Amino acid sequence: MLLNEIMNVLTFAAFRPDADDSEMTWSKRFAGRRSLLLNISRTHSSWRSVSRKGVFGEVVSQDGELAEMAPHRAEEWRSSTDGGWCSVSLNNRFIISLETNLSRRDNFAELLRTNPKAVLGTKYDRGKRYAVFHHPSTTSSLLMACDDVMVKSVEDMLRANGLKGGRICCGLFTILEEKLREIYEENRPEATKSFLLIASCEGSVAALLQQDGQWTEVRCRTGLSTETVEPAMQIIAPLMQKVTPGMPVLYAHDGTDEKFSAAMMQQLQPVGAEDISGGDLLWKITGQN
Amino acid sequence: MSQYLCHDFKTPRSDSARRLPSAFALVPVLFYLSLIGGAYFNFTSYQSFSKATKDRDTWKQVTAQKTEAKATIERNMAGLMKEKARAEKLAQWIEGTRAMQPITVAVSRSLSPEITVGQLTMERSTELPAQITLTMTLNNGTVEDIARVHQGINALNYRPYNTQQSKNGEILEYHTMLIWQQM
Repeated sequence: MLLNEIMNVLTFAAFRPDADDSEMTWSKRFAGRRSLLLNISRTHSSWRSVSRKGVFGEVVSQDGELAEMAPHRAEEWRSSTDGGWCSVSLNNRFIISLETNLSRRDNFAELLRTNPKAVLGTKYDRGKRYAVFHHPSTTSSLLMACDDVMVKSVEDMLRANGLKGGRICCGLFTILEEKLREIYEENRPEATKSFLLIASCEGSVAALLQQDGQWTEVRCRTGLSTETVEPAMQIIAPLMQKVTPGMPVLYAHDGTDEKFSAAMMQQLQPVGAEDISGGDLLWKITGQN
Repeated sequence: MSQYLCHDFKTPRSDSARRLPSAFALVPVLFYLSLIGGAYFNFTSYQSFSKATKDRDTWKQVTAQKTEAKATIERNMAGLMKEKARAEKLAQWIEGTRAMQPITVAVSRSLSPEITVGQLTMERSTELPAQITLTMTLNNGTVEDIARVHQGINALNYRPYNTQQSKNGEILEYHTMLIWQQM
């Protein structure tokens, strides 16, 4: 063991991020190594490999529950990785809510993993896993709470099939985080004004309303059918009614279901919605960041 | 714009050690630098050692040559010294072979006219040419005559040694060894 540690130091492996180091981006963790991006929703899963040079492979998808398809696909998934590491994005059994006055200490992301009560206080529920995005100018925060049982079942499934979860995240929340970060860090005009940000990912939809620089309302629903956009539109309809003329409506989608996103854009056209997704948004976020 | 770091809520591992600080990477860097430095110094030291060994052999050869040359010079010097000693001896011998006519003249001048010289013999030693055995027989000679003879000889830087004289009637026999005093 000691010799192994010395060798790790001498080969600089001890200074490279571990494959499951949550404090490093995926591209840094897997520089020169193959990995797998796994996108899981209630009745549908898709996956994509990332080559040693960081190039994405073909998207493969399959209907059905993960527990049923995993044993059949495990060999394929393992063979497309170096060491069986994969990044999992979950798209059901979570809720996004708007909170205020959450702890913003420097290591709050690490604390959320190890001691979430220190960050959430009385809002902490031991049956949940959390992620937080803070508004940069106000005390508001977006809080994502995911079912702990589901996370554990996914981890058990990965372990049982010889795979390792380098990261488990919420696909919809990553899209929201990335787009909100772009808005605020690029100082876009709407950053200090009003906007409606709508995000969809694998049957999950969320809408965040900012009015006069303040987050005022968020609506979220998971496990929606992607056959039609009606259920998603019903979720965001109350916020759509609050859109005033000239208020930017931004729409970001995962990029895996062009039919659904096109239909959503058609529905959002009357309020002048802008598609800010770019291509392969979810894969880029989970495969690079 | 900073890069977005995606959130992660997987179950944290309890057995994982924290990644070492980047500054600690200096340790293996210094290790490899010391290896390279050590290899460099080993190489240069080996080169220096090889050169020193070669130089040492060269200088040993030079020393042997010089020693041999010195011995040759010393042999030549010894020969020269020997020659010099012989030459000095020869020069000394030649210096000792002074002409005997002045002695004869000094002796004859120091004698009064009434004295006749019965016999006057001068023999030079072949080994020591500065020594001359003088044998003289004087008719009607006296001790005063001998003293004058001594004065005359002394004026020529000869000193009489082992002088013997005997008076037999009117004949005075005188025998001495004259040694020339080198100036």
